[in-house]
Amino acid sequence: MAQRAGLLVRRGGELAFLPASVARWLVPLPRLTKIPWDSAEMALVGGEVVAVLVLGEASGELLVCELDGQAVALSGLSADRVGFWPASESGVSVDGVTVPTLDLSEALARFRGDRPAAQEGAP
Amino acid sequence: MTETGSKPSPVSAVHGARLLAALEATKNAATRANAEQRTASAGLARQHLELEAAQEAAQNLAARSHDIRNSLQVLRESVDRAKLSALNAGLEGARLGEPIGKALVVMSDEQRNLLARALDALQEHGGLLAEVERDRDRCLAELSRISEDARQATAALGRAEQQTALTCALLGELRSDLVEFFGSDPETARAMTEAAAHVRTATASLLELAQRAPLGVDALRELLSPLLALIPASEDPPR
Repeated sequence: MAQRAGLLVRRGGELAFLPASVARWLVPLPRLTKIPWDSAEMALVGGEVVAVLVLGEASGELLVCELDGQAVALSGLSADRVGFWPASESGVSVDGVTVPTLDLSEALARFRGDRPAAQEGAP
Repeated sequence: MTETGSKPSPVSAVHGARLLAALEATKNAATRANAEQRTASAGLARQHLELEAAQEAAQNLAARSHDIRNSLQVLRESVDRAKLSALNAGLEGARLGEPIGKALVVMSDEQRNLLARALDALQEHGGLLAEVERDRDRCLAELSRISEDARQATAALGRAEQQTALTCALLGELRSDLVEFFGSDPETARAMTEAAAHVRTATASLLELAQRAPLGVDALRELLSPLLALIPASEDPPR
């Protein structure tokens, strides 16, 4: 069976898998700044400003990912471990238990879709 | 007792002598008690100072435990950072893929396990420190209570010391009044009391001798009668 390399994270107590091609590195949670008239948050990571997707309660660490060639940071996740695991239909199999791949499409859609509504009050 | 100015009778003189002797003994006892109280008071004052030093030491412990807590926090942050570094190294290994990156991932996982144990140990230290702090707070409260008790005891002892000193002064005045009243001094009173005891002993011996030698009874009675007159009427001669 094919092996998948990546990172296991906890989101609200549930384990999820992120492929190594998406998860780039972990940093201590920096100060997050809200963008005026927008629901998005931004953070300064390694000298670059990146958008932050808030997936849960702040855990003290920020996971910087690469999605569609763009750097995006995820907060509210707690990194568990890195490794190679057998691939399964929805993610990987860790010690016989299927761990699904973290679904970022919903969070990304909300991130993109919120903007017009949030801009209503803009001057 | 006799009226002031009149010559005291032999009986009242003996009573007066006994009274003066008892008064002198009471005054001496009160003076000794006063001295003991002063010693105890000084001891209590010393203990109070030592208690204050102990309280200060316990309060210094509070400052030190605060430093230890800060140090533990720095350690925790460092271990958290090290854990992230280990995970980042693992991610690099995962991106390199098998077999090149495998060693890096394994090393990273081992580091992560060790750091997790370090975090657990730090957590335990934090718990132990919290227990020590609770015990220290209890000690401080207890020391504060003991200190307050010692302060109250010192104050009470001081009051007792004043009362004993006053008693000594009053006994001194009473002694002077009695000396004036009986026309005697404590030394004479003691001598008189001792003499009365000797007279009683001598009387008893002579009476016994009279019973064994009936022929000399009259002569002995005549001899004893002045002595018997000196013994207070309330005291029966020994038989």
